[in-house]
Order: sequence, then C-alpha cells, then structure tokens
Amino acid sequence: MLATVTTCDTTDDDAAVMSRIRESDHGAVEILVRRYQRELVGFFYNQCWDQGVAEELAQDTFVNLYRARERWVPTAKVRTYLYRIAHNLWIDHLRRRRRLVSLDQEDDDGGSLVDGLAAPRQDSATSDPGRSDRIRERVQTALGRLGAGHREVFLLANNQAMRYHEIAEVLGIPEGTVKSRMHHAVRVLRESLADLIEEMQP
Amino acid sequence: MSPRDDQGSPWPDADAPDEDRLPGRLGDLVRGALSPATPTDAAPLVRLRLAEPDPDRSVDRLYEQGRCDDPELAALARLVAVAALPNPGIDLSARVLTAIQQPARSSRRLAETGSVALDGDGRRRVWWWVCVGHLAAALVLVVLRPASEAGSVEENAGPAQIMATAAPSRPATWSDGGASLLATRARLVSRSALADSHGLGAVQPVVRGSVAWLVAQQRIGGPDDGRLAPMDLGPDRALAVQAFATLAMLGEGLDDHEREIAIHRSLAWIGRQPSPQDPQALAAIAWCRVEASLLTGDPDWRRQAEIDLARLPPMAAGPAAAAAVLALETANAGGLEVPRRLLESVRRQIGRPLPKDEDPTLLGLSALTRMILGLRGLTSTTASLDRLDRLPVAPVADPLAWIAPSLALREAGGERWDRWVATRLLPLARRFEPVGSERWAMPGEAVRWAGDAGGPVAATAWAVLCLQAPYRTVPLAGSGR
Repeated sequence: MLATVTTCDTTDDDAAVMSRIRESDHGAVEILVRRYQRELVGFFYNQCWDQGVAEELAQDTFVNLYRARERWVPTAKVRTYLYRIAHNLWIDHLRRRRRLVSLDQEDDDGGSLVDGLAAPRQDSATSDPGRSDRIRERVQTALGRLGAGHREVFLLANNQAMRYHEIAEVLGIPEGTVKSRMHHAVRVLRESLADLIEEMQP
Repeated sequence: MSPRDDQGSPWPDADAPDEDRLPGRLGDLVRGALSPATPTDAAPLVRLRLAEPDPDRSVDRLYEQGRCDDPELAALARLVAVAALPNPGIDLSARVLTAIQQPARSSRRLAETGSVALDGDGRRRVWWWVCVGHLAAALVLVVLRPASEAGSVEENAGPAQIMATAAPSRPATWSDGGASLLATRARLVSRSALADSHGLGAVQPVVRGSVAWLVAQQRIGGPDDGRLAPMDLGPDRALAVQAFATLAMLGEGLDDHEREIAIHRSLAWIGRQPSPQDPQALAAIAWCRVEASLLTGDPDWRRQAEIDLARLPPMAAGPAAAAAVLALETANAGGLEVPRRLLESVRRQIGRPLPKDEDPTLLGLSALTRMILGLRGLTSTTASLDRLDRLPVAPVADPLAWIAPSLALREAGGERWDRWVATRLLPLARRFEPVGSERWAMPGEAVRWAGDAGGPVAATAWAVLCLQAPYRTVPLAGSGR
C-alpha cells in the first residue's frame, strides 16, 4: 500500500539481530539501522517536516535502543520497541522546543499531481517543484490541523503501515482510542483535502 | 369514571372545571396533528441505509486488513503517504556507530571515578555547590526581574534602560527570545551578575577597561573620524577589525554615554567606506549592524543591517561563517528581514553536519547553531560539545577561533564550561596588559593572527568578545547556569 513500509517478514530476523545487539555487537546495530532508518526518518519527518531534525532524532532512536539493549526482552517485537523509543524521543523533543517550520517555499504552477508528488524534494527541479511543494504544503497543513495525538495515530497507520494494536502498544493507549482517533483523523483529512482527493481519483 | 365516558362525547364534560378538560383536548389535538396520513414501512429505508458504506468501517478495513472498498479513502491514503516522504539517500549507520562508541556521559564519569559513593567531604561539596548555584540563580533573578517588571521607563532613559525593560525570560530558542535576546548586556549589574555566575567575575574590570581602551583608540575629527582600526591595514581588513572592535563595545551595552557615542561614530565610519569584498569583513559588519539596530531600535541601522544580510555570500564553514551565522540568527530572532535561503543553507551546512576536523570554530559553531535552534538534547550536539571539550589546549591563544566555542560552551554550561574557562578564558584574560589608569589592552603578538591583522585593537576586540560570552545573549532554557 505505502512506499515507506518495511516488510514484516523481518520480524524473526529482527529478534536474532537484537539478540546480537544485546551482546554489544556493533555490526548488528548497523544491520538494524539499515533496515529501519528510512521509515524512522519518515516517522519523525512527518511530525516536524524537517529532514535534518528527523535524521538526528532517528539517529538518537538507534543510539537509545543500543543503550537500552539490556531491557529488551525477546518476546517484544523489535519494530514496536523501536517506535516506542522514537515516540518517547519525539515527546522529549517537543518539550524542549517549539516546532520549527521550514521556510523554503516555491510557488510555480503546472504538472501532474501524482508525478509531482512522486518526485522527492531534492529531485523536484527536474519535474515540477512548485506544484509538488504546494501540494506537500496542503497535506502538511491538513495534518497540522489534527491534534498531535490524532496525527501520530494516523501517520503510524497510514505511513508506517502499523495495525491498531501495534499503534496502541507504541503510544501506550487503548486500541479503542486508536480506532476513534483514526476515524476522526480520516474525517478531518477527507474534508480538508477533498479537492486533491478528487483530483487523484482515476 | 369520567363524564366523557358516560356521554360518549369526544370532548370532556363542558361542566367540568377547566383544569380537567384542557389536558385531554390538548392530547387529542397533538395526536391528530402528528399522525402520518398513511402508515410508512420503514424496512426498505433501513435496508438502504445498511447497504451504504460505513466510512469508519472502511477506515478499519483498510488499515487493519489492507482491503479498501472506498476509492476516496484509498486516494487520501496515497496522497498523504507520498506527500509525506522524506528525501531518499539516508544513511545513518556511520553516525549511529560513532555515537554508540562514545560512552554515555554519566557512565564515563562513573568509569573515571570508579564509585558513586560519597564520603562526608563529597556530600558537603555537593551541598555547597547546590547552595551556591541556587544563590547565583536567585541573584540573577533579582537583578533581571526589576528590569522586566518596571512599569515605566525612567525619565531621560537611554536605549540601554529601554532594553532593560524587556523581560529576559529563558526562551527555548533564539527565535523565541525575540527582541529581548540582547537584554542581558543592557545594564552593568546584570553583566556583572552573569559574569560572576559563570566564573568570570574577577576579569570583569579587565573587560570594562579593555572596552574603554578601544573607545580611546578612536580617531576624532577629519576624514577618519570614528576609525578604530590601525591606519596601516588594507581597506577590507580595516573594516573587519573595526566591526569586531565595535562588537566588543556593543557587548557592554549602551549604558555609558561615551561608549554609545563611540559606537555611533564607528558605525558612521564603516558607512562611509566602500563595501568590502572579503566575506569576513562583510559578515562582521552585518553582525555589528544587526546588534546595533536591535540595541538602539534605530530604523536606519536596521535598514542598513538588512542590506548587509542580503549581500552576504554563501559561506563555507570558518571564522567568516561564525560572524555570518551570528548575524543571521540574531537578526532572525530580532525580527529583521533575513534572506531565508541563506539562513536555511547556513543552518543545514554549518549547524547540522558534525565537522570532520577538530577545529574549535567549526565545533563551536555547530554546537551553538544546534542549541540556538532548540536542538540541545540531540546526540550530535552532545558529541560536538564533547569534542570541543576534549580539544588540546593550543600553545598560542586564538580568541578569534574561540568566540563561537565560548558562546556554545556557555550555553552548555556545567563542567565543560568550567574547563573552558580554566584552560582558555582565564589564561587569555591574564595576557591583557595595563595601559594607563584602569585601561587594558591585548598585545597583538599575544594571540594568534592579530599580529598581522590589526595588532592590539583586533586582539583586544576578539579577546573581549570571548570574555563577554556569559552575557552577550539571554541564556536559553536548559542552559547550564
């Protein structure tokens, strides 16, 4: 469904890697970093819209995982454990500072919606920087209208392909709350992005 | 039995009292008016509603089972997922491995001491430092609070008093500090209190005497009226030295009339010179005018500072970049018009990546940029500060390279700052030489670069800028002191 999702058949292997990390094996840390760095950066990027900060926080997530390696129990799913650390880091980060909004914006026109979006930011000069940036901005604004709790639930489900029970475990909230937050978030986003949704449909 | 039943009349007994008849009539009236004309079969409508897709169930089906029966929802999911993708090409492995190879700060300290048990002396020392810390904090609050709570500015108040009325609360970032960012330097009492609490109280008279010496170096009258820089320097270098000397004067605030006039003349001299080509001169002038405009609120200087910022070239990391970063971030906090792309690129290229070299300016700049953006707690910030802390002490004092590290370590506080003071700043202060009554100057040959780049004026200005670190800007939340 989504581009940022990591395949789930790595779960057993994750546990083996994590067991090596518990033995302070730095090579195993590298394996885990390569496996999850992209989605973790995506997770933080979706909260702060700043790639540099997202990378820093993702890096800190792995460092904290390593430092807390003794506390991991083999029955815990590594991916959920990682996101739990990431969630806590994000909360700490929010407490430390207000969110910074990227100030770089273009304002051009034209181009296909999906093509423009599919191109990542740094490649956007070759396709349609202004339009894709504007759509990103619309999506970011719409996500910004959600409360932090609703946004995090929606993004974990939509962009990180997590099931409700996993989200509940990561955020430490009941599954019913996850469900109701999800429903609310989708209602708000449908309303805010109605024109773009219509444009995206075949 | 009621009279109505007896007579078979649709209406209550006409002879009954009003309170008995009215409710019955009202009930009949409402029943009659609200009855549907023909009975309705609700079943088809219910069936129709049940056949409609339930939006919430569609959401659950998509996100729990991966099946989607709602094209609109699928479009929304795709739109958000694709629009929210970060840039590709991420590789954190090297950074993570470097970070985990450094022991956590607390565990390193434990490893060094080998024990956490404190004897009686240790406990007394801890309590002593706790008490001293609280007293120092209380003193700073007492000193700063009257400025923030004063209801009105005193009569004939100068810009310094006006600045002192701004509340210097502890912001999370420089941007949050706004126009109050420079408020700590506004009054002698706040400067002294902060210097004291940062272990530099003893050198305050030297700093004041050095600034007074700089003021005394200024030429009065003639075409070079206001010039501080030595006459034998080339135009760009003279402008850079002039700007650093003016920054040193600005660091002591505007609460001294003679100094305030000297600053005005100095800026006027800079304004009369052709625009320099050298990035360091451009950046130092921009930083100087930004601070002057924020301290005085002078609209002409503000306009000129904004022009300077717009002229700044893209900066590679180095001493010129230090002045540029400080100019841009101070201006941004103070609400001046700032070239956004340059600001963002400076943050990305200088603040974010960890420097490869063990260069004090680059490490200090990297740590400072992160902290003023509110990224104090990140591992890389700590790594920058740790590397800065571990730098070997150079045989020659290098105050030009120590400006950014001094500001960064002052923000970090703690033992790192104490070590920086003990190994760099206090030995630097000892190199000042008395020149007349209560005047001090740094000989050019006593510090790196100054011998060729402006002699004692440059050396004094750079050294003063390092020693003013405790009060040049309002300490951020989480600052060590």
